[in-house]
This record gives sequence, C-alpha cells and structure tokens, in this order.
Amino acid sequence: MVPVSYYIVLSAALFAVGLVGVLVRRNVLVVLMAVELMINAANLNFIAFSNLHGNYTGFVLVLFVIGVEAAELAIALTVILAYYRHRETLDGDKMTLLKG
Amino acid sequence: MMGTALFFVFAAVTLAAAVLVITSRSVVYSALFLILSFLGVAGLFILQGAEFLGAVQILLYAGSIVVMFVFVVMMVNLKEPLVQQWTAFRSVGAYLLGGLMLVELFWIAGRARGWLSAPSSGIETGEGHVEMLGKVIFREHILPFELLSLVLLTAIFGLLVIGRRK
Repeated sequence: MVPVSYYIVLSAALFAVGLVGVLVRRNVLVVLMAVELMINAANLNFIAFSNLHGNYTGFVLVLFVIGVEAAELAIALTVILAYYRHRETLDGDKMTLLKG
Repeated sequence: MMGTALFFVFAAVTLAAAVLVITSRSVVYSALFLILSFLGVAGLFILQGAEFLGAVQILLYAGSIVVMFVFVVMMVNLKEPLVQQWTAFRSVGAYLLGGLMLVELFWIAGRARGWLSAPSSGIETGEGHVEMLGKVIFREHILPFELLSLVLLTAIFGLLVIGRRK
C-alpha cells in the first residue's frame, strides 16, 4: 500500500498545475478544464484521507463533489455558449462588461 | 510492490496529461488530454480501494463532462488559439504564483510527515464497497444527498432558461 504522503504530494502538484492553467490561459473553456483538474486534486485527497482513517465519509464527499460539479459545469458551459452568441469570443480577458 | 509501480504509472499519466491540458494550443486536444487525466485519477481511485468511485469517475468525467466540453467546442468558432504569451507579465506572475502554491502545499505536507507516512489503515471491505457506501450515504448523509437532487433540478431549470434562444 502506497503511503498517504505520496497521494498528498501528487494532489498538490495537480492542484498547482490547475492553478497555473486558470491564471495563464485566456480561453474560458480551458480555464474551466483547469478548474476540473483542481477539483480532481481535492477528490484525490478526500480518498487518500478516507483510506488513512478507515472510514467512508471522504468517499461520500467525493460523490457529492462529482454531483455538484456536474451541475456547475453544465451551467458554466451554457453561460459560455450564451456569451459567445452575444459577443462572438471566448477570450476571458475581454469579458469586462462588469468592469471587474 | 505492484501497487507502488501502478501508483507511479497512474500518477505520471495524470500529471503529464494535466500539463498537456493547459499547454495544448487546440481546445480539442485539451479536452482529449483531460480524458486521459481523468482516467489516471480513476486508476488512482481504484488503486485505493474505491472501485465504485473509479467507475463513476470514468462514466461521469471521462464520459459526459468531456462530451459537454467537446459539444461546446463544436458549437463555437474559434479563430485564434487564445494562449497567453510566455513572456507576458501576467504569465510570469501566474507561474510564480503556481510555484509558490506548490512549495506551500509541499511545506504543509512536510510538516505533517510524521502521521502522513504511517501506513493507511484501509477501509474494511468485508461487506463490499458499494454496500458500505450506500449505508453511509443513507444513514449519515441523507440530507445532503437529497439536497443534491435539488441542486441538480435547479441546474436543469437554470440552463434551460440561460440557454434559450431569444
């Protein structure tokens, strides 16, 4: 059995990759994919700690995360599509309508 | 030994595919590498005794979520690849911030090394993984489980409203 620290290190690296992706990419679709990577890193940690402590709560949490994330992603992609219909672009840097 | 070797294989696949997701110039390639990364994570789940979650990961992430991405890519017409210049100020800041995050997480993990390197007790699999999972969900987490269905229902209505053509 691989010690938990291996999984922690892997998940930290995966999270950092996702973070860089969110910050570097301008295409909002790829930014969403990078968010997925970060969520996956968190899920890995849940499973690893669940195994460490020998109970099922982390497993259940991962199931909930997957469910909520599917909903979130469907909404996000729909918003992106609606935005594209109005503005004809997927460039996150140009989405400045709210002056944020 | 076998488990350790498999861990390194899956970890390498997951990380390499993740890096390729954020560096590919084509969104379709990004989506395909995303599938690979999800498959690697599913392998890691199964390696840790979470067979059901591994299957869910493959079905939901590698199946439906990536299909949604590809559908959106199909519907929009991208002219330029929309990649930040490597030398741009924001890009350098992003890499610095990502590196800082990595160092920080490693530092935290290093501080907890004492109990992290302990062999994990593992979950008892006498009763079967899915049975235990179902029992825990329906005995201890029934309210969040029901609320999740409400979230999904809201999402369906929300995307019907948002996605409607005027």
